[in-house]
Amino acid sequence: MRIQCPFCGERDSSEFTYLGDATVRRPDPSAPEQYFEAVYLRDNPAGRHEELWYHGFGCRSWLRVTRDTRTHEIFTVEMYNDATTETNQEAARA
Amino acid sequence: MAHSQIELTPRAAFADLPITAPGSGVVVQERDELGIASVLARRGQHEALTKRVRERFGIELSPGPRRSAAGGCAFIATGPGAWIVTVERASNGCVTSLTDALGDLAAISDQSDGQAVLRVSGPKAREALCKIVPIDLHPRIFRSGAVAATVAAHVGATLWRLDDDPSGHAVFEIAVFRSLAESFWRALSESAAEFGVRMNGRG
Amino acid sequence: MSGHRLGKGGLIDRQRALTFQFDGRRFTGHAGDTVASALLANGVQLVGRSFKYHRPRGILTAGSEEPNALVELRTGARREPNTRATVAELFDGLEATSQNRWPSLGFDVGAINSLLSPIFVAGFYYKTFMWPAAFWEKVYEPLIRKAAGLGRASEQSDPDIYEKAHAFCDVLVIGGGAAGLAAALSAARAGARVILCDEDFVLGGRLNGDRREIGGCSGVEWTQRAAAELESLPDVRVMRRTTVFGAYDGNTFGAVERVSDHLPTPSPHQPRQRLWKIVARRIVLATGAIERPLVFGDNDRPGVMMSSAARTYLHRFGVAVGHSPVVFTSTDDGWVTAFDLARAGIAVRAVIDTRTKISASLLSGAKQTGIYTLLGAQVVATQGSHGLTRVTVRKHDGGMENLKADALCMSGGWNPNIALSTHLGGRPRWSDELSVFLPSELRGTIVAGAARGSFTLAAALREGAAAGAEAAQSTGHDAPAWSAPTVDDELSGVTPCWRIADSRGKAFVDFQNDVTADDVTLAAREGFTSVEHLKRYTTLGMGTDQGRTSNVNGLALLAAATGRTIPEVGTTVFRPPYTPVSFGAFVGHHRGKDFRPTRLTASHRWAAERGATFVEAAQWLRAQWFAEPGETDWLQTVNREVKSVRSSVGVCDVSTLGKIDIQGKDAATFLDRVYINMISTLPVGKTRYGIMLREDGFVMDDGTTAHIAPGHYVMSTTTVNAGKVMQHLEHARQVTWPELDVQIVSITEQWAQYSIAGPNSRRLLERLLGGAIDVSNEAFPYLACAEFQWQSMRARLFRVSFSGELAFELAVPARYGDATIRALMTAGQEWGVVPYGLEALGVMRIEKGHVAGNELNGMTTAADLGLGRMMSTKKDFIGRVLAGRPGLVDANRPALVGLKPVDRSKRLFAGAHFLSSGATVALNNDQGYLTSVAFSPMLDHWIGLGLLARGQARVGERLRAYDPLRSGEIEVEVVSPVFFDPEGARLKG
Repeated sequence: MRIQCPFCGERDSSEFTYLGDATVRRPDPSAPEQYFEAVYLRDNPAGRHEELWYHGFGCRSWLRVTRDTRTHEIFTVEMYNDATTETNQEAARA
Repeated sequence: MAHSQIELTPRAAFADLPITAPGSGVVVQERDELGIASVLARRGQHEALTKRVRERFGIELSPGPRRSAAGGCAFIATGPGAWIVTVERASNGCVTSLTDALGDLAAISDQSDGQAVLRVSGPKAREALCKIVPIDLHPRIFRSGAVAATVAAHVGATLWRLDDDPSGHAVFEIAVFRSLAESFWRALSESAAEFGVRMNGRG
Repeated sequence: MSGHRLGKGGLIDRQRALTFQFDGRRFTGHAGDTVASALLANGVQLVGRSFKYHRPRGILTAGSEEPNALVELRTGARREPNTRATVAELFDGLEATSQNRWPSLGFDVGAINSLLSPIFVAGFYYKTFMWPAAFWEKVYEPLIRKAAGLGRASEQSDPDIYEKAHAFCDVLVIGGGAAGLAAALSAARAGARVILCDEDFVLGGRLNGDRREIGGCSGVEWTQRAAAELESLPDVRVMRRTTVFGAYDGNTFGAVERVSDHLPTPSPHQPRQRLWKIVARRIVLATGAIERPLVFGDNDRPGVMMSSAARTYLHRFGVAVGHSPVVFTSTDDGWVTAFDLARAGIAVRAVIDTRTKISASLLSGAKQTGIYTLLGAQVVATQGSHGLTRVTVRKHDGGMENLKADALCMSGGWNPNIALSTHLGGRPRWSDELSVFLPSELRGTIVAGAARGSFTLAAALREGAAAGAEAAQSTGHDAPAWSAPTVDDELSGVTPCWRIADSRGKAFVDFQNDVTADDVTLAAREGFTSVEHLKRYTTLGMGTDQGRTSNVNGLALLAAATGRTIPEVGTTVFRPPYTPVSFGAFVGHHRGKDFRPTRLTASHRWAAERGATFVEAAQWLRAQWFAEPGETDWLQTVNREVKSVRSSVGVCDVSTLGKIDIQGKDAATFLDRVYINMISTLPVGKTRYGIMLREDGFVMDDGTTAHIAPGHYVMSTTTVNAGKVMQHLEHARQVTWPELDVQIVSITEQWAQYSIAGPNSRRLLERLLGGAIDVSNEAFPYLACAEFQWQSMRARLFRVSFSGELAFELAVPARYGDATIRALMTAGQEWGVVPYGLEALGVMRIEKGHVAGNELNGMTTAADLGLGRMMSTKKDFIGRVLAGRPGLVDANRPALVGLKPVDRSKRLFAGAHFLSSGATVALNNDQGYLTSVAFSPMLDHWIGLGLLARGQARVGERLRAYDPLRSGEIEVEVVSPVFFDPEGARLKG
């Protein structure tokens, strides 16, 4: 499989590690009941899936990859968080 | 008590590694004298850092995995907001001067000893490298100034291309973790053996 | 010579004679021969025995689809089994041996299996060797392995080198026949980067095996011109002897280049084979077609071969496959063989065509050449002990006729070679018009020529040129129009004939697996009517040839047996590799010492000089202990090292621990969120131990974090988890809290770091550092850290201790690591400094009850390790919520304790399980287990750490440590995990 890393370009999937569903967010610490679901209850869809990949043998970016789990066709790849486009204002706000 | 000022002699990462197939197809040279630091832009300071680097170093940081160099200093982009900076013939001042210039906009860490850098050139450099690096090294694709953070024979590596040498051959530099220098060398020298290997700067 | 080599013709070098051996007999061939063509030239028909029945077998094909002619090539360490003689290039001195026969090829005891054939029917393994079950391993399997099986691998280490390489292109053309050459030419002329791969050692495919004309010159000449043009272009790589064996996701292809297989031994520094990973933007699949056999009685007799193969031997190798051949055909193509043989002066005995009507041109050709022609006729039997002598024909009128013949060329039509098109799940589709399976549409791939059922040369050239142009265009290269050259006419009529009814003897479908037509019908009768079941039950289509010649015939027979059509039956698909690939090629450089990369510390050379024994820790090699002269036992050495450290001073390389630089405005906040304890309260110049959890509440790693400068922290990790922690931190930084201003980078490799431990460690450092930094207890107390100038370098010092002694860790830039360890030894001479290894470190940490990898096993919580009170209640951190779930705070969970053998002379073994006294040995009585053990030289007996249900609450209790594999059962006493210096007075001194 080849993944089009937004920074590095197209690379073999062996440079990446996989971490499942990219739509799962860490729940608010004040809502402990949501943690079980976030950590353990994952869907395993046949078809389009938004997932996290880490380009550990490359630019060290976490990526959001939309992939068909049946055919391994990759539709989109983007930085999970593109730090380079953040402005000072955003930084100040955070 | 007399303190013993034992003279500490530095040791190069690729020191004493054997050449098993002497020849001239691939020429390698250890770049032990390079000062190296990692430069990571602070949050939201990417633009400001680009501007500062232009002002202080006369270097234009272009987006993507590119090497930009001027006056013996090179910014090698390895990730978004991440560079390896190399300084020619640096003494220990490399990190200090970078921190002075950029410290408010970027996190600077000395890597001069962590990264072992080898220059790989000669008429068969590409043929040898293609055996260990999963990167398209075609001259039109991986042009002078191109950078790839990747894996070389199961070893994490950063590869970049310099300007061609006077005879028109491509010149690459490749950086690996120091502890992996010997393993990496075994893979590279076996890949280059069929073309013959010469080490510059070693008798 | 028995006169099978013709006086002229062929692509062999008649000036270069090569001698070779087959089963110890010496023969002569020529450069350009394969082993098969050279054997045929010498009149050798019998080359092997079949897998199951040990029937004599000859050469069936002239290509990689060969099911029969498998030989062992070379001898000694280079012996290689199951090599197809039909593709093995002849070299001078080659030695080949037939396989699967005993005692000799001519007389094979195993041939009795043929007489016992009623028990060797479909599924015979399952039926015959079922009972008693115990017999399978001890009797049946060894017996079958000896009787069946194919060749023998060398048991010596392979002396050759193998390598891997990467290639990239716009257009990958797979197959160097007419279609592939045309595709490569048109893509290359458009300026595309082209790679052309062909498994053969000459390009041209069928053009070498046929007598064809292209644009006024011979097919061979056209091929040579095309190859020369391609090779003159800078962006074209022509790869002969290169099999594309697998298609993988993302337009990635695996190919094996046989760099030196055609040489007696590889040239210096040349690999035997090279494994290519090719990434292509577009692919042209021009893999041609494979001729299918006819299924008739005793169709496996040596001398029976594919009609196209006979032509290849004739035209490419100048070899007559027989002096008196017959052609048995259901196609027009079979006639081409007859005419070509006749034109070469070979007396074709007859053409037997299953069809009653054939085209007028064939009839007139037959008349002109005077070939005896039988239409609507079938070969139903063959005779001859080790080679064909006679065929029995049932004529159209039902009458029988025996014909003397020494070769039979069969032509059952062509199957597109679609294997690669199915590797990624493409389902072949049946063409009623052509009676063949065609490849399905594939992303990025264009199929051209015979591979897509276009069997004429004109179509192959036309489609190839169009495919190459299209592929070039879609990768941004304007292709000039190229009109394919004109070619001579050909007929391509076929009337499929799946089985010759009422044959005598066994009619083989799959030659390699000895599957007959009857086996297929029997399997169907027994209910194995799905193709997948048929394949597994009969083994049809398995083996080195992957059923290349047998699949479609098998499916047709299954269809007939079950009253279905072939598309209703469907087909199995192929998976990589297309042809066998040696392990050596897959492994490449990475074998032996290079199996995986090894990381060496800066002190490695010095440690090796000191005679250290090394042990692997993750990728690192670490010194395990440093034996002194006279020490005969590792335990003796380790005890000395521990005692020396605890009584004076020792030095240990701890550079392998992960070191991560953490900077940024929000670094402290970030650390508070990844550690269970507070880091934000840590002042500059101080170090703190920390634990991090996974989000599921279990411990991930531990280590210290030093606040080295304002907003600048250095985190240490365990050696094995360094990479995992880095990924975890990057995830926290980029995915979970991207709003934080934090920069992290690994600095593990920048620093060589040494632990100097023991009551004299301060004195040693004072001597070494010569006042570069004040290391007095007042200036540099326990857990202090500092960066300082030492000689020409910036060094770092941390006052941390894993051993429980007064200890420091000195970090220097790695290039000074070698000099520093030597300097440490010199500086410590006065106090008898010793280097100590991982083993002594382990003993001392167990004496101190410090947890390490055995306890940080991914299944323990901070509370389990006795560190529950470190969990801050004043902040959120990764793992906090789930660490609080009922199952993880259960008081009955196994928790860390210390253990001593009640009989102090007994040795403890890690892994022993705890049982209460009197409890039966059963899983539900399991109380936990010993995680780490050591002999404590300070206590003079074995000690251990363990995870015991209810842990510390049971101090004082006696238990059984049950270890049935080694020690049996030992009574142990539960104690505090801190065995030595429980007040911690030593490390603060």
